[in-house]
Amino acid sequence: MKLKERLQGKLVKVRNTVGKTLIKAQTTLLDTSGASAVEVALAAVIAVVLALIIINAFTGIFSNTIIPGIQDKIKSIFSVT
Amino acid sequence: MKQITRIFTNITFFEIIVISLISLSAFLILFSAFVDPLMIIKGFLFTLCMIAISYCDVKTETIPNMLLIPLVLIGLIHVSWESLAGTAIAIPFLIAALVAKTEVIGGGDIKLLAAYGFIIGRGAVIGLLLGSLIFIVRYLYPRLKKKKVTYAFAPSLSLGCFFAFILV
Repeated sequence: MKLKERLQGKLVKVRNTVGKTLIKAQTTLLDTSGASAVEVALAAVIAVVLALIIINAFTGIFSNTIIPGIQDKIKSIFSVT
Repeated sequence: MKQITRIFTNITFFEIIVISLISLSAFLILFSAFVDPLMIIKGFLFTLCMIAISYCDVKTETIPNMLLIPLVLIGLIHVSWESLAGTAIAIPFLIAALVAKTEVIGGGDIKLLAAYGFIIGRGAVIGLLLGSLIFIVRYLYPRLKKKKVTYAFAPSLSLGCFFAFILV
């Protein structure tokens, strides 16, 4: 009985949080304000630069190490010597 | 609509000359950058919308929804799946606006970013990067002097997206 009540309480909390977030999202999207903080731009620059570095690193790893390695393995599997 | 009319009826002669010069130089840059006439027309309409939005943002720190609708219509020229993916660039900013306790980014800026993403596609990332750098260079000193917390983001973003439109 207690477990059921606790679960119901948590469910209500989750429902309230989701509802509040949706209302806030609606308010934000209906807002026409065009003013932003400098910190957001700073965060955007850092995020974009980090994302580009990570993508570049992953592309390098995949194209230079992983894919050639897989190709070698496949070649060795199918080589009939 | 009345708000936009009021903003643009109070335009001064000096501002008209500056806007005309910016439009002319943008057209010349687009003419030298693209061969496809449709892309030149798209770029020029895009530039005109960006100028109108930037002017509105500088004057009133608001971006009316009526000015964003033409951007979406311009984005329909050469539309692809990449255009739809480009709108996703606004999602992190929307999440930031939802999570933050104070106002860090305006709703108008989020919608503007989504519209630019729709037009430019994946190049909007470069536009965002350039625009943010211009915004930081322009407003970091006033921000450190604690004059204000929020500033008009649309002019910097427009400039960055214009260069991204040409480069990508």
